[in-house]
Amino acid sequence: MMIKRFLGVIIAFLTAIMIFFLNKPSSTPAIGYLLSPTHGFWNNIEIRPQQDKEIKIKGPTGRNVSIIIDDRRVPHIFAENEEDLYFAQGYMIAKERLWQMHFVTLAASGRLSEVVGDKTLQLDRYNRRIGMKDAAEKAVAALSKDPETRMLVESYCAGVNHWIASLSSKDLPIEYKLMGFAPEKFSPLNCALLLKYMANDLTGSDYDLQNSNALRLFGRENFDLMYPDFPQDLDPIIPKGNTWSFKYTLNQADSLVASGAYENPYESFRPAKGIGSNNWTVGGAKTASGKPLLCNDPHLALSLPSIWFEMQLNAPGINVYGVTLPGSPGIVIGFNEYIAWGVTNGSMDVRDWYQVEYTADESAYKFGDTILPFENKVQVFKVKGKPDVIDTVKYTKAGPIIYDEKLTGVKDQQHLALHWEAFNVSNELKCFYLLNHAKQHEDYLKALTFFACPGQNFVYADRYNNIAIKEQGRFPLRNANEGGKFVTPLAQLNPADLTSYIPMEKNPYVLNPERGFCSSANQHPTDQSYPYYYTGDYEKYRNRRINNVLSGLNKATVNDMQLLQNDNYSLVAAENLPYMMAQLNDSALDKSGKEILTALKTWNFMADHNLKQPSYFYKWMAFLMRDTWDEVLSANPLTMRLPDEYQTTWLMRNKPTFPLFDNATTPTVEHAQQIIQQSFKEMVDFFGNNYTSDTIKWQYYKNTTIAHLAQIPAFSEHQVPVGGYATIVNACTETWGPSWRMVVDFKDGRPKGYGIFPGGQSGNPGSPYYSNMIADWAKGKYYNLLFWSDKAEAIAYLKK
Amino acid sequence: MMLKKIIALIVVLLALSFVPFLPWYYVFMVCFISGALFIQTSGKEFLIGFTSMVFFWGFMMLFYLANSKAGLPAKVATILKESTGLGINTSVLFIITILLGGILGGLSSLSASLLFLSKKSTHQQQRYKIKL
Repeated sequence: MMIKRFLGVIIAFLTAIMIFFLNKPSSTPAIGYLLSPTHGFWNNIEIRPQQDKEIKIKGPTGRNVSIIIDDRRVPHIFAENEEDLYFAQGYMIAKERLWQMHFVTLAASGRLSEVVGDKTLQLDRYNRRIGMKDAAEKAVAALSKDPETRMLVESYCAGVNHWIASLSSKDLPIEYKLMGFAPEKFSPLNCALLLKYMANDLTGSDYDLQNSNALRLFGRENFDLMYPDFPQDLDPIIPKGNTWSFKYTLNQADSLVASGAYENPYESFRPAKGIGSNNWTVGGAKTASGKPLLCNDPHLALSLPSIWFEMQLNAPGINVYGVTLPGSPGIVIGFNEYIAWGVTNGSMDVRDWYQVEYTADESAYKFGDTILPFENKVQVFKVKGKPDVIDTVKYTKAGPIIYDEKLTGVKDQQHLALHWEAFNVSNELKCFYLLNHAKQHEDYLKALTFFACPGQNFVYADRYNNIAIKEQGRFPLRNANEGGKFVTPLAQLNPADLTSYIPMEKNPYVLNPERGFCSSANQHPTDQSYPYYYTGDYEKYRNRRINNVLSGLNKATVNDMQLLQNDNYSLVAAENLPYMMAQLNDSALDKSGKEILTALKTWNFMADHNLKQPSYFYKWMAFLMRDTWDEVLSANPLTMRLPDEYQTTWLMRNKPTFPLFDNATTPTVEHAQQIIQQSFKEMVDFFGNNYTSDTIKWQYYKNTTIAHLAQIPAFSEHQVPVGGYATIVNACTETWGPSWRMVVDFKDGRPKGYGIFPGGQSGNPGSPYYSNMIADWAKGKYYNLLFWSDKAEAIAYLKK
Repeated sequence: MMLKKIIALIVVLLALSFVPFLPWYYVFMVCFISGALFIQTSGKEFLIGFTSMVFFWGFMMLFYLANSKAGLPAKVATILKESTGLGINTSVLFIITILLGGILGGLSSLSASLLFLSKKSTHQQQRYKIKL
C-alpha cells in the first residue's frame, strides 16, 4: 500500500514537473500551451470568420454603440456621442490587432528585449537613446491639456482595455502564445509612442554624418556634383516660378562643418532609405465629372499584420471613412461628407547631429563659450532570461548623446548628440481630429497648424471644387547656407539655432493652382526661389512621371487615377537605357550579352512583374552604381551613402570624365563608357550563372515580401506578383511599397471612395482576413469603400 | 453504489466545464479527479486517462483541421520545424499533440488511482472484476 502511494506521489510530481516545463517559454515557445487544442494556436483558427455582422457594446456614457461589419470585415461604428465612438474604435482595433499595437509600442519604447531577449538589446538601447519614449511622455502631457484630444485618447484606451479585460489565455493573439508574453494595459503613452514611431520612420533619413565624411574625403567640387541640393530636372510640389510674398536673408554665409571621421555601426537601425508616398488631386476643370478627384498611396515598409486598418466612424458631428494606425485614434487618411485628404512624407531634414567636446572628466561639455554639465538619465532595460542592463545617457542642450563608445564599442568613437524635431512638444492627434471633422478649406488649414512632426504634404480636395496642398511641419530655420546638412561642432553653435523655426504660415502651400492639379511624391517642395534654406532626402522621378501624366489628362476619371497609381513606367530606364546601350561596344559582347541587349532594345520601359527586362536593367544599374562609387563603398567603416541614381546617371550622361568614374584599383583611367561596359558584362555574368528563364522574371528576381512584424517567415507573404520599383509611381520594392491605395471621387458631391491595402483587416494569421487583399492589390484592383450616411443605410446593407 | 457513481460523473463533468476558463493544463487535474473518483487497477487507469485525452484533443484538432481556412496548423508546423530543425509537419504536430495529451492524461489518472487506492477499494475492485 505504502509503496503504491509513494509511487503515486512520485508520478504526480513528475507529471507536474513535465507540465511546468511545457508551460515555460524559453528559446522555444511554451510548447504545451501552444499545442493544446483547447488553449493553444488551434484556438486562433477562425472557424466562422464572418459570424458577427453587427456587434453591440455599451459605451462609457452608458449608450449603446452599434458596429456593423461589412463583407470585407470593415467596422462601421455608429455611436450617439464621440466618447462612445472612440471607445468603440479602440475596442474594435484591439479585437483585430492587439498584438501588433502592443509590439510596435514595445519597439518604440526600447522594450523589445523584455519579450525577445538580448538579441534586440542594442536596438532597444538605440531606440531609448533617440528618445521616442521621452518624447512620447511629453506628448501625453500636451494632448492631455487639450480637452478634445484628451477625450479622444482616453476613450480609445478605455475601449482597448475593455477588450483586453475580456480575454483569457486561450483568446490571446497567436504571437503572444509563440513569444511567451501577455497584453498590458493600454495607456495614452502607447498612442503617443505609436506616433513617435511613425515620426522616426518618416524623418529618420538625415545624412549629416555621410555628408561630412564625403565632403572631407572628396573635396567641395566633387561633393557638390555628387550630392547637389537641387536636381537639374526639378519639378517641385509648388509649381516652379511661384512668387513668394515674404523674404528672408541668411545671416551667416556658410554652415559650420565638424571635421571628424564619423562611424555609426547602427546604420541598419534607421528606417529603410527611399520610403515615400504619392498623393495628388485633380481639380474639376480637368475631370470628366467637373468635380475633384483625390488620390493617395503612402509607401511604407510592407508588413503583416497590415500597417493600416479601414474604418468608418459615425456620431453626431462626425462621419468619416478611411484608414487608421492601430494604436492611434481617429482616421489618418480618408474622407468625410465634405472633404478628402491624404499625406506624403515631406522628407525635409529635421534631425541634426552635433559633435560634442567633453571635458577631461567627461562630466561636462563645451557649448559656445561656456562649459555645461551633462544631465544624466539612467535607462534600465529588462532582458528576458538575463539580468537588467543599465545605460546612462548624457543629455546636452541640443539633445541626447546617441553615439559614444559605451553604445557602439568603436574605438575613438566621435561623440554625437542628436537634435530632432520629434523631441519637441506637439499635438498631432488634434490635427487628425480636426481633419476628421473638417467641413471646408479653412478647417483643413486650421487642423494643419497642430501638425509639427514628421513633416507631411497634406493634399486636400472638397465637394466645393477646391484643391490644395501644403507641406506642413515645424521646420528648423537655417541661419546659414547648407545649415543642417553636416555634423556641426556643438562648441561653436549659436544657441538660437536650436529654437528657430520657419513660421508655419510660410510653409510651402498652394490653393487651386493654375495647372489644375496638386501633387507630391517626396520631391522638393519648392524651387530655389523659396526664401528659406532647406535640405532633405528628395525623390527625383515619381513626381515628374505623375505631373507629366496629370498634365496630359483633360477628362480624368477614377479609372485614370487607378491606372496612374499602378503605373509601372520606369523613368530612370527611359532616360538612361538608350544612352547606356548606345555606349556599349557590341563587338565585345558574348552570345548571352547580345541576347540580353536585344531584349532590352525592345523594352517599353514598363517594369511589369512578368517581364525579364526590368531585372536586366535594374541589375545593370546596381552594378553601375557599385562600380562608379567604389571610392564611396571602400571608405567603410565610415558611414557613407551612395549618390542617388538620378545624380549618378546625370553625371554619366553629362560629365563622363568625372574623376570618380575611374576605378582606383586599376592602372588605367576609366570614364563612364568603360564603367557602362564593365557593369553590363557583370550583369550578364550574374544572370547567366544564377537564373533560369523563369526566375529571371521581375517578380521573382525582385521578390517583393510582405514580412510579419516579428519576422516570422511562415506568417509572411513572399514572391508577391507585383511590378514597379523604388522610383516608379507603383513603388513596390523588395520590402516596401504602396501600403494603402485610395481614390476619392466627388462626382456626386458626396465623396465616393475606392481603396485597397496589401494585407487584410484581421491581424490573426489564423483568419482568412489576414492576407486576403494581397492578390487583388498586386493586380491593381480596388474595392468600393462603403461610406454610409447613417445607421439606417448600414442596416439596409445587412438585410440585403 | 450507483448513486455514488452518478455523483462522481457529475463532479467530473462539472470540472470539465471549467476547462475554457482555466489554464491549458487544468484538463489534467480533471484526469486526476476522475482517476481518484473511479478507481481502477493501475494499468487500466493509465489507459483510461490516455485514451480520454487522445480522443478529446484528437477530435478537437480534427474539427479545427476540417474548418481551418487560413492554413494555420501548417504555418505553426513550419515555425516549429524552423526553430527546432526537426521534420515537423501538420501530421507530426497532430501526433505529438495527442501523445502529449495522452501521456499527461494517463499519468494524471494513474497517480490519482495510486494515491487514493485503499484496502476497501481494492477489495471492491476485485469483486467488481469477478462480477464482470
